[in-house]
Amino acid sequence: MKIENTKAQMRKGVLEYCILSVLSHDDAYVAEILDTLKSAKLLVVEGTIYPLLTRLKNANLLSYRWEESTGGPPRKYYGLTEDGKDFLSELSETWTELSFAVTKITSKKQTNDE
Amino acid sequence: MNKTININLANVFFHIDENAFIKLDRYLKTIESYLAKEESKDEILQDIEARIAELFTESMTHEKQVINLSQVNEMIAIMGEPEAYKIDDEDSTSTSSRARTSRKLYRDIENNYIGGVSAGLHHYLGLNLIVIRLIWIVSALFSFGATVAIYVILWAVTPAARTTAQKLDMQGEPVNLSNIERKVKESYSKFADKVGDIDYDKYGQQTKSGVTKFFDGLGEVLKALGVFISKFLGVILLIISGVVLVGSLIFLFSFGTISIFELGDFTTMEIFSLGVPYWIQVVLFFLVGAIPFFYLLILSLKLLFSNLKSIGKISHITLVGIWILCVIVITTLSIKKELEVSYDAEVVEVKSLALASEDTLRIKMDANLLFSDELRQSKLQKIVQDESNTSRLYSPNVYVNFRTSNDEELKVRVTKKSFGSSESQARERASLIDYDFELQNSNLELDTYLLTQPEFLKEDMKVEVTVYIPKDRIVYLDKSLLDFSRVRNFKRSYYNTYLDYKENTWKPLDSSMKTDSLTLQN
Repeated sequence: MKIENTKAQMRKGVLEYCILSVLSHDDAYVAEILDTLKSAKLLVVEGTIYPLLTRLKNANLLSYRWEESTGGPPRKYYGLTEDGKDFLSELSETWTELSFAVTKITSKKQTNDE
Repeated sequence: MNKTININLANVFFHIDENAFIKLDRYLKTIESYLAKEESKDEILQDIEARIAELFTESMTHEKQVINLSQVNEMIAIMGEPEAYKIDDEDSTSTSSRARTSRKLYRDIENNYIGGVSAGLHHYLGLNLIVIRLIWIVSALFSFGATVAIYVILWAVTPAARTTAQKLDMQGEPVNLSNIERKVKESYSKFADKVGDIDYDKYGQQTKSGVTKFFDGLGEVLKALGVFISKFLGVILLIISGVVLVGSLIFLFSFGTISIFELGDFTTMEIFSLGVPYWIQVVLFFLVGAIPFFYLLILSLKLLFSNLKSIGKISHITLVGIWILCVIVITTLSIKKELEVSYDAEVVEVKSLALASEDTLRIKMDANLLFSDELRQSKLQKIVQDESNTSRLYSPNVYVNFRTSNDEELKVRVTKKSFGSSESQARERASLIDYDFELQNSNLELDTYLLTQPEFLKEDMKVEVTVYIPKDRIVYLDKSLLDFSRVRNFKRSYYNTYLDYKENTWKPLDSSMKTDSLTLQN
């Protein structure tokens, strides 16, 4: 059991949830999603997101369209599909339950320790 | 000044420094290897390239700016190390299986003095370049330049690092023991993890994959072991073939040159002669011995360095051809040499000696103290210097026999025997044998040796002496004859006694007679 594996597994699930959340407000291209995630310090380097986005797209949770950019190459704007919206709402419920459970358990443990 | 390369990233055109390009190329290739199992690998890579293009564009202050190494490094800092691209939890244990490029041996033709072999070895072994060059020079001095041949072989079989990929391979992960050990450990722990991961609730389904994974893991362990064994074998073969090649080169140069300039006396040094000039013989034996070891050297190098090129079909054909030719020549010469000694001839000299009647004939062997200090017959032939300081071949191949003379005269018959490629040659050689004997009063003294030309060392020459003894003589045979005499039915105790010799048979005198004759003698 390696700590990296556990961390990566935890982060992966959360990351998917967060990406979908970011896109629930408005369509965005990668750099914008990244800005949001990086400002919240959920993501330190950008590399991780590319395979993830492609997988979400392949799972029909995301779709994208091309838009020309000024100066740079054309950008992929991602948006949620209907499936994606359902997926996100389910994830939201799970997250609420999970965060409640985790907070309760970890805080209880702390009180036990004291 | 730096070379720049033009690249196209997501349809955007960039000028990039060569070293920056190497790094970028490596970065993308590593990511690709991490994503190897991903379904839409190409699409992900396109996205990544597009983002890199965007980052480069942002970092450029003007349009014609060249992307340099620091911009690539900044980009990697933002994007993350290749490991970051891997999010797959299933594969999280296979960190070790990411494509590590093993270091390969190339000639570094950018840092070369001669062929870039040293610089290539420097990258490969991680040894200091100056140290490697010093080793070459010092070993060349100590082996009389023989290691230069090994340098040339390495030069010939090692490819030059020309392309970027080759240059990267040249500096890749070092191939050393700790790395091989780590590889073994990694593959072992991987296979142990896989076995440990079996979920017993889903026993049926997962046992199968567990078993396959077990064999995958086992396969990797065996593979790593195989690599280790082949490298180990390679090192041993390299040492053996290297030592033999260097040794035979020293042999070639030392013996070959000495004989060409006739610096040594080769009649004594020859182990066996093929009847051709000595240096030709040295070259023949060198080629016959060295060519197989040359192939052994190539084999060991191929075991050690996976990427060596072939020395070429023409070289192979030439080498094998030369080898076969040499074997044929040596065989032919040996057979010819064998045939050469097949004729034998003898030269006979008969000498009558005046012997006072009634005297007892005393016969003994006489050694020449100049050549030998023993009376026994040793099998040793040797080159000696005679009184006038000329070299002679000394041989103890002397055999003595006795017969009854048909008249009253003492006669000595000397038969000189020799071999040759023709009868006349054999006879000529036989006539060159010198053999001496002497009659003083009634003492016959026979030489224990023959002398002849030094070049007949291998010719197995001999002298047979027959002494014809007059009838009714009392004969005293000295014990020095013991080793040389070929008389049948002759007892050891007969030596140093007085004997009666009649009709080719020896009969000891009865004791009274013996005393008589002794009295007579005294």
